[in-house]
Amino acid sequence: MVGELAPAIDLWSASCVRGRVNVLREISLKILPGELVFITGVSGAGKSTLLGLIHGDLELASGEAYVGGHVLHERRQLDLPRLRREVGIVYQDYRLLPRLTALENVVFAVRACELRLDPLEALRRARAHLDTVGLAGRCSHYPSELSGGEQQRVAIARTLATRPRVLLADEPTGNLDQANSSHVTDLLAQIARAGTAVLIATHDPKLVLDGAGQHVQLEKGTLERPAVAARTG
Amino acid sequence: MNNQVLRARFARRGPAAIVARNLLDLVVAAGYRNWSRNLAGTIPAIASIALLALLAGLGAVIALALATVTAAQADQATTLQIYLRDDATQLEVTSLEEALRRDARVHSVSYVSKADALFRAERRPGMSQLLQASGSNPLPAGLDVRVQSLDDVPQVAASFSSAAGIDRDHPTSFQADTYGRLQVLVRTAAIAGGGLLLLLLAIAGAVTAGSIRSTLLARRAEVEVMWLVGSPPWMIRGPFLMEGALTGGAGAAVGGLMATALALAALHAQATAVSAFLPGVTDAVLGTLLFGLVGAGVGLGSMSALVGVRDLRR
Repeated sequence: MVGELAPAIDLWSASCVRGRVNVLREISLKILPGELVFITGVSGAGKSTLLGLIHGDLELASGEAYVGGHVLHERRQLDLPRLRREVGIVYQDYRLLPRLTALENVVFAVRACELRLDPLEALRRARAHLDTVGLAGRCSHYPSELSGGEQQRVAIARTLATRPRVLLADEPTGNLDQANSSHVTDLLAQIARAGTAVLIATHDPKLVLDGAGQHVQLEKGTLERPAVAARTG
Repeated sequence: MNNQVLRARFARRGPAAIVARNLLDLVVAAGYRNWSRNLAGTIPAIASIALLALLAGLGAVIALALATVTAAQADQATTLQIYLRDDATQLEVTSLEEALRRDARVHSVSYVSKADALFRAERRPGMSQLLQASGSNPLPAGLDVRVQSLDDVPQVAASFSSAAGIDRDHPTSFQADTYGRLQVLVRTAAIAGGGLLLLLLAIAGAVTAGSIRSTLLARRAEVEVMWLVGSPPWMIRGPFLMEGALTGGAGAAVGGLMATALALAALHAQATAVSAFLPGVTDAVLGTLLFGLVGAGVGLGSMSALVGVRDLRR
């Protein structure tokens, strides 16, 4: 299979236990660079747990997980900061720093993860990504001066500015109206088209774009429509 | 010419310079900014470290003085002074000297005239005025006898205290148990002072760690963003470490300066006192002590900060 892309995310029979609850059961999922995947499911289905697992917040109980070259099931050898520099995440509650402007929020994140980056280059990159998400004119605004949709776009710009290979979005439109939800989803699809693997967890099936990427459903910790068949050898 | 200036001014910085600039900005300057912004919240920690530094500083000054006295006592304890009567004859003195030199327990013997004794006494603080007031030289001539072993001093003193030519009222300088009592006093003071300092150290450390912890909680969102984007843990802890160092340094500087000022005042008073109550303590010693205290404060603050942010992920 010459020329086949290495998966950005490759889970094989991955399970995750939180307390005494088996939250994820033998999940197998393969996502290629540039692919957009929607994970839907009701609250408690295990969507956030799956993203937490990929982001390195949670440990696997069994199975194997490879994310951007990192072997997640070998926890002791896992370089967590490096994994997080390659796997960006955006949340429903944006998690912007209220004392910083939109531009400063992005610059802060870029400088916090790239010590070798010239501060002027960090500023240039932050401006460019705010421009990408359509907020070039809102750089000097504080989060409190931005709408929910704009704050989410700043959060996306902040994640993009760190140049991740994988972008995870946990209910990114949970606090947004229909128009803003579509805007954010289109933006995430555009990011996927640029080569980043994008995984969106949502409880809203209406968010799933027609014909844009995979759609998998989680139900009680198992994938109802697995994207890939279980690995054979 | 202009081009050269422009090129030099806007020259691209090397990777090392960029890393240094970022470290300065993101760790040192960020730590200082946060510290100065939360100064009011760190006052209890600064005050407890200042108290610790004050007591440690005063304790160190007293310990040095006691150590100097003890060392001098130990040295003097093997030197027995035998006081001669004013009317002792040359023959009596010579016979006594020879008898002492023959004694295997004696290391050396030297004659001290009345003038030498006066010269020595005048070098002690406050004694000069006292001796001048007496009008004549009241001090006796004597023999300085260096004894081989401290344990032999009482026997040597007893053996020669009734020899001819010796002052009957004050035959020797030997005072039983003076040195022993001093050692017990020093040991007791060291144990009590050390215990108190350890207690204060624990309190100051806990207060500083608590202060840094509350700062960490106040900046939870910032720390979380740094985790999310993959900042190295040392970079997240760096500003807190800096804050701890500043808190410790500031507290120690305040306490250290107070201790130094008190010690300087004591040195000033000592210059006109009859006896030196802070022997071995000088301006240079106090300067070194102040630097040491500030350094220790920085260390204590940094260590406490590390304890405060040990479980950063939670």
